[in-house]
Amino acid sequence: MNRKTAKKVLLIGWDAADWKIINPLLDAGLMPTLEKLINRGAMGNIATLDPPLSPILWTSIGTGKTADKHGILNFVEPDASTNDIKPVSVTSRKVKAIWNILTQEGYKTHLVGWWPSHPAEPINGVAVSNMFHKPIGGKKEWKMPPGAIHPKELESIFADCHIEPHEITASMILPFVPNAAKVDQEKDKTLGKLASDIAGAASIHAAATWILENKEWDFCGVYLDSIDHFCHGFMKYFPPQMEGVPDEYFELYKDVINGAYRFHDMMLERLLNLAGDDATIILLSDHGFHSDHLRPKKLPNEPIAAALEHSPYGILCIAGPNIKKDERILGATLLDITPTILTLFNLPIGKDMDGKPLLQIFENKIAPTYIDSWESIQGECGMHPKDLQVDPWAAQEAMKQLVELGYVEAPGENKQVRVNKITIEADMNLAKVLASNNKIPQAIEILKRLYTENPNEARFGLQLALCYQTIKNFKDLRIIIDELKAKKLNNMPRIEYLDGIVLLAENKPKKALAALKSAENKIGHMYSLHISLGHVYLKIKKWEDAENSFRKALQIDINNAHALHGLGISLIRQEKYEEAIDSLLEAIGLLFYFPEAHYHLGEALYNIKQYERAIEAFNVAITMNPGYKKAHEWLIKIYENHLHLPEKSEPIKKFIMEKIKGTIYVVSGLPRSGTSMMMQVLKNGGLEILTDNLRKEDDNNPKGYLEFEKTKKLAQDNSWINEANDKVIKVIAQLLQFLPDSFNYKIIFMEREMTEVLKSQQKMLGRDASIYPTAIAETFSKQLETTKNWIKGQPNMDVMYVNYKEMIEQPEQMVESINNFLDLDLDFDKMVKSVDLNLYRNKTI
Amino acid sequence: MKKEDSKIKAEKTYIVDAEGSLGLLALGYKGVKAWKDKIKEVKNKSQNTNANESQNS
Repeated sequence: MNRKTAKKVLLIGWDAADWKIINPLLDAGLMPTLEKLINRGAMGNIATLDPPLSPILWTSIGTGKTADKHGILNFVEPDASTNDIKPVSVTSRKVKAIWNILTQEGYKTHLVGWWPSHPAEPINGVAVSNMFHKPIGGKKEWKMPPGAIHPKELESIFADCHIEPHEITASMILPFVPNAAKVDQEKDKTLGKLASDIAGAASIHAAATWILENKEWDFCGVYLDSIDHFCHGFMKYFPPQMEGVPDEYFELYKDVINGAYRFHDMMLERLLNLAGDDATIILLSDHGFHSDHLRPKKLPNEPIAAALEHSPYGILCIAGPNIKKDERILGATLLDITPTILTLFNLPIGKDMDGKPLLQIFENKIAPTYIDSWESIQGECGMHPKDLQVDPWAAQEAMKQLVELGYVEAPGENKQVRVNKITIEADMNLAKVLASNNKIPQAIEILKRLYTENPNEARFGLQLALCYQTIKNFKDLRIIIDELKAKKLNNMPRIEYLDGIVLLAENKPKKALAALKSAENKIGHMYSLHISLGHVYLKIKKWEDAENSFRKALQIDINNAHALHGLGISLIRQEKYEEAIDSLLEAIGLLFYFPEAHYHLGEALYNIKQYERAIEAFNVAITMNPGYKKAHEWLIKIYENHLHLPEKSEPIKKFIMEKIKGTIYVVSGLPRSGTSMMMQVLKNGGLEILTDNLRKEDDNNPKGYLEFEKTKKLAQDNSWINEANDKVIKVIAQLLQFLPDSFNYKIIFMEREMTEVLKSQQKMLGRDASIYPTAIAETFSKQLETTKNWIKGQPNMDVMYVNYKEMIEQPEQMVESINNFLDLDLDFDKMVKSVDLNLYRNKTI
Repeated sequence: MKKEDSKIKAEKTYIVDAEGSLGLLALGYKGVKAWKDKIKEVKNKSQNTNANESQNS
């Protein structure tokens, strides 16, 4: 081995390959090559990205970047030269792919069939574009599409590799459809589709093998779209027989999917033989494909509905020198492939890449290096010249402007409709990409526009609602859900489901439960619904119901890390620790970057006295989320109470003190708005209060004020605030702005009719309560409004508004909401009992 | 073993005839080239035979 870790890298893409189909074939010995590859390397799931559309995903695989950076946003794009649409082209990619970086570094680099890669890029090797293998169909003479091959002089060689569907013979069809002779080809064109899929795969494979046999190579990327094509065409016939599939068709085509995987295993054998044992092999898919009860019975009439057949985890298998054997890869995403290949070549990773190198796969540790970006490194990288690289969406805008200015004739109506439609889809895809990369404000901006321009398409409103849900903007989420409900569009059950989510956020768990249960009757197939239901049950401490909901989600998707995590929590709460550990380990296996799952694993391990393992789990959670206070506190508890190593707990305590913001619970509002009552409620619930009891109870407040003298001087001195950590303190509304930023605050803000407040204040001051002080009322109202607006802008303040009258009249409902908001284990009954109706003396009639 | 299984397994012998096989496709360029050459050969042979037959007749 010289300067790089890998001698050469063969990257093989099997679009849509899924372990759920592969595993039974491996068990039956029907994919022997893949079996060998797995045995000599590392394997695992690879998480897809949103939206799961292949050109977007394969470009993310090849660049290590998300689509907002790489610019490939759809299957098609506008063609400024014809005013129509065309298949997405590589010239729309805005950034360097791994094959460009390797070209720039002088490596022999080849690429076959990557999507999109047309026109073929002038890399330091051979490029065969994704237009090369596309069949023209019929019996017309096929010609090499212009630009499909680089270098051009190799066109005749690759022309020999191309196979048209009509050339596929019965011998090639029969392994997939043993009773092909029974097919009435006049009526049923399925065999033609099958021949097309076989021909496409064989063409790409022939081209790849020619390169591996005849050219020097350091890197070769081969992409086969065929498994995805076989699956979209034939998964409906895969056993068990789906409802609505006629027996005749099921019997004819039920073996196609397994046949397709076995054919790919045969092709893999050849590729691996040609690559040699010293090559590093990376085999992956971009997403999986539902093959069981999750197969959609019917696809909605929406663009890109076919993506609903995709499942969120693809396959990943890596083998070669210095790669661990029999190792499970955890937490990989599509974005990690390019950083991993760069590491294999001992090249730095761009800090502008969104993935990470999969360092866990290496036998001998490798320390990756980094640069800011490969984009700014000059050199011949084999991308098309800048004048060929265009942003088709920007070009389309420019074209539109020329039409408006009268320089160019407007396209025909159909063309324009087509262009408009794909532009909307690209925008929607971009919004999804941005949303899944935590760029929510940008996503919201796009979605608001799409929703405004297409008010009757619920999907835009729903996507917008999901964004609001992510950033916990429940106010706007409530508005949009109510709007969607009023419009009575399709997708009502999904709207009802989101309504349940908002109700939960509005601290109304029982109403949330009702909405979610109602949605469950209509969209019970949605695993996320059962997960949400499970979390509601956890909130209201119905552990068995929570367990059942999470199990229902797992019946739908056995590989759902969030359902496994929820199941783990519900099992811990029922003291079924061993079962909980199994469930949480499985969750982590599926999604390693999941600090909450590691945290709960630690909790379960602690309960079976596996302290060392618990420490390990809490430490992983902390590595992923250094501010995870509860995990730090568990560590302190283990070190001090069980391992008797106080020297280990001290630095953790110091870390918490210095680095993690504590939480202070605050009861606020105007004086006489019920703040003392709320303090009493929280005190009786078990929350520690910060009071010096200097102000004694009196006739106005017979149960005491529960105040802390120093808060009155908060504006001048807040140095005492540490005393309030993890406790509840009363701070009147006007003083909230003087709370220091060094803490997080959970504020219960009491609201009461202004007339009642002032009447009570007047009485307390010994003044005539029948005189209404208008000027004071106006000032207080303004101050309250200003304070509420100010709170909205404080990232460290979380507020719940509690109406005094409702608190008095519906204490149970309000206490439930308060507990939900505080997320503490307070005593519900004692809290309810401390609401004294007799104290409601200054009512407005 | 099902019929189609034996068919796939049997392909490793790489018998090259004009009918081709999945095994030849999986062999890649070499297999496809051999198969396509065979088709040409068979076509030429048949054309020659037809030409000879028409000359003889």
